Amino acid sequence: MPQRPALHDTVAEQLVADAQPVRPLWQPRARLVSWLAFAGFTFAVVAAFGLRASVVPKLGDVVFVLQVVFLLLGGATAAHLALRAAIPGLLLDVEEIVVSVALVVVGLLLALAEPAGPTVSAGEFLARGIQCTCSVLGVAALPCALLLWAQRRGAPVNGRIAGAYAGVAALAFSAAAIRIACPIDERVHLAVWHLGPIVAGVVLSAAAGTRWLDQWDRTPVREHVDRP
Amino acid sequence: MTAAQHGDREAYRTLLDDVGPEVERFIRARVPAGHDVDDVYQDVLMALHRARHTYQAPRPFEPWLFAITRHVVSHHLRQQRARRRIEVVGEPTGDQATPSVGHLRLRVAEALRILPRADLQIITMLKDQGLSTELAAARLGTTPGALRVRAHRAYKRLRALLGS
Repeated sequence: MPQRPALHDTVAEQLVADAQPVRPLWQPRARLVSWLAFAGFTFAVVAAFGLRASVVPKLGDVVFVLQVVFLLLGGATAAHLALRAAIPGLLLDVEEIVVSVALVVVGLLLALAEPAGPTVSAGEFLARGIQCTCSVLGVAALPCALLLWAQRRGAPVNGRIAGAYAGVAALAFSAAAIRIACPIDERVHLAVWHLGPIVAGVVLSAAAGTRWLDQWDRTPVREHVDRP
Repeated sequence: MTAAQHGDREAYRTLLDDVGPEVERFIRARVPAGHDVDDVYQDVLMALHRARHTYQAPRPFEPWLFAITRHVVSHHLRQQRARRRIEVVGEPTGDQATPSVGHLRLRVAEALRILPRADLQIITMLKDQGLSTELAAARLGTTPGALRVRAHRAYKRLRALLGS
């Protein structure tokens, strides 16, 4: 019989004494459905209250439709990855990572392929742009917080990566929603005020993951045990 | 593990007994000589306990167990590296054999910054807020005896960080 560490019996006794029944975490796909319902709701709210006037003719523009569809699909796959990242030992599927990143990147590149518009004054450029940036970040805030909370209920072994996936998921959804709300289809506007906050938001979300998700194994259980 | 999730203590104990030697071997293979393997081992079992709701049957158990073990070991190694950095930074130079008050404050502040949150909480309660052991134990939902043990370990960690 293999030798057990000297400390083992003392620690095990205390943990067994504390072993109340626990409800296993839902499968990532089931949790994803809940998150998609919420993210879909925020998308619907933006569509209901902020839809651009030119949306009907834009729906005939294949590039525009693909941008929105790719961002939504990329966001959904990133959310699935984020929820899988909260379960130790659940290897993240490389193909799924590649597909998720590719969908979001292609969605954003298609936005950058929009034609350049007429020159506007710096003041106008700033005023319209800041509104879009605030909208992208604001619409993403709740879905991102919900995803981080869902991850924290698990045990992510790499908080930064888990946080980054949460950010990509929420911001891709948000970017898609703001794309159907913002009437400006000009590439510099989209690059600076739509893509910029996505990059910044993902960095922030990864930092939040490092700070907030990595701590799950450092809170006291009930009693810290001393060596025998 | 599924039985343990349902509160079967006997099954849980059997599981912990079974995984103990494997976990210890894993730690010894990754933690350099001179590190406190017992501390890491204890942290791994506690992390496993906290994360037991994340195990999903019928997925294989080992990847779950060793992902948690690896996470705790990496955290321990990161913390050790941070401690060594403080020791190097805090080392007085030849012409400054007696550190100044400001220098000491800096070292204490830096040590408190990287001290585990649970340790900092206990030290703050007992030394800063001046709570009695009984009162602090009641606030943390533990017994005075267990709190004394935890406080002792917290002081030990702080001393190690300060290098005295």
